[in-house]
Amino acid sequence: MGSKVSGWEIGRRVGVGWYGGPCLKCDACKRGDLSNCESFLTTGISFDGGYAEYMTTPMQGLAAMPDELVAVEAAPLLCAGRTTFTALRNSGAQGGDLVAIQGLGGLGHLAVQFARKLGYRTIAISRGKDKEALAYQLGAQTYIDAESTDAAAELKKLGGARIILATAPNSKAISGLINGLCPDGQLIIVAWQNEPMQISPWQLLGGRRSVKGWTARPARNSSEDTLKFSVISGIVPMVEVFPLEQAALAFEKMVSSKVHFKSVLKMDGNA
Amino acid sequence: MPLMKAVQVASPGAEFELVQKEIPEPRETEVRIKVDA
Repeated sequence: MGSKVSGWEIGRRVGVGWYGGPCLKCDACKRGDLSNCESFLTTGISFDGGYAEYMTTPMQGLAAMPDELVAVEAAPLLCAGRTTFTALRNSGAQGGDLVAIQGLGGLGHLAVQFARKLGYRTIAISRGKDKEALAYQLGAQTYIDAESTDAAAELKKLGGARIILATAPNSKAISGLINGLCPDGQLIIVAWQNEPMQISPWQLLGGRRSVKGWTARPARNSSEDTLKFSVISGIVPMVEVFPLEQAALAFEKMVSSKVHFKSVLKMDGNA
Repeated sequence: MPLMKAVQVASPGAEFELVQKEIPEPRETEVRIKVDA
């Protein structure tokens, strides 16, 4: 540990995800708004990440790791998990509200589990029939096949969604869902993409709908709360584990969306 | 200095390569983590 680290002791199990900590220098940080830090540190970009047997990381990005979680299952919770969990629990949706999760991949397969355990009426939306059984297994109460049906119309039939959490990077598919929101409903974007979405002003004005983006930042109330909630609620990511030597394969399966549903590198020599 | 295994991409577009690197030392406000997964 560095000489100025406090609040942690040597030997403690910790987790660090892509979020490496706030810069503590920008205007937002100085205002105490760490969530909107303008130049937060990113693991693997600002400093070397976990493709190695050891790494160093700023103490602000650390999350205490519950004993109940094994590392390969905790790892995706510190990225996809914290993003989707905090997006949902900060969304304003209350128990029983209709919440739709678009996409059933690395983010979506966790979002469906979180949504159900948070007490929402949980709808999963994906393309085709392949993932229908999985959606129900993860806790969805309704599955909508966006390939053979108009997903927005199906959501309307169910009363309209209070929240649609868009987890699959497909701007066209996401744009098409906006009419499936109930009045004051919100479309929340968590998947990174550059392609513009097409949403007309009248779609927002009718029903006062809104669109927002969400990213999870500070470690204590994002990562640690996600880990704790996952232990309490039995949320388990589906992972494919690779040794460090196969990092290239693990990476390729991730970027081509062929992994079910998260690539995790496991160091050998660690039980 | 003791060494560790790491995978790196040395330049944009380069292949992944398994290398031996020095185990990093934490700076004042950093910790060193033994990576499990």
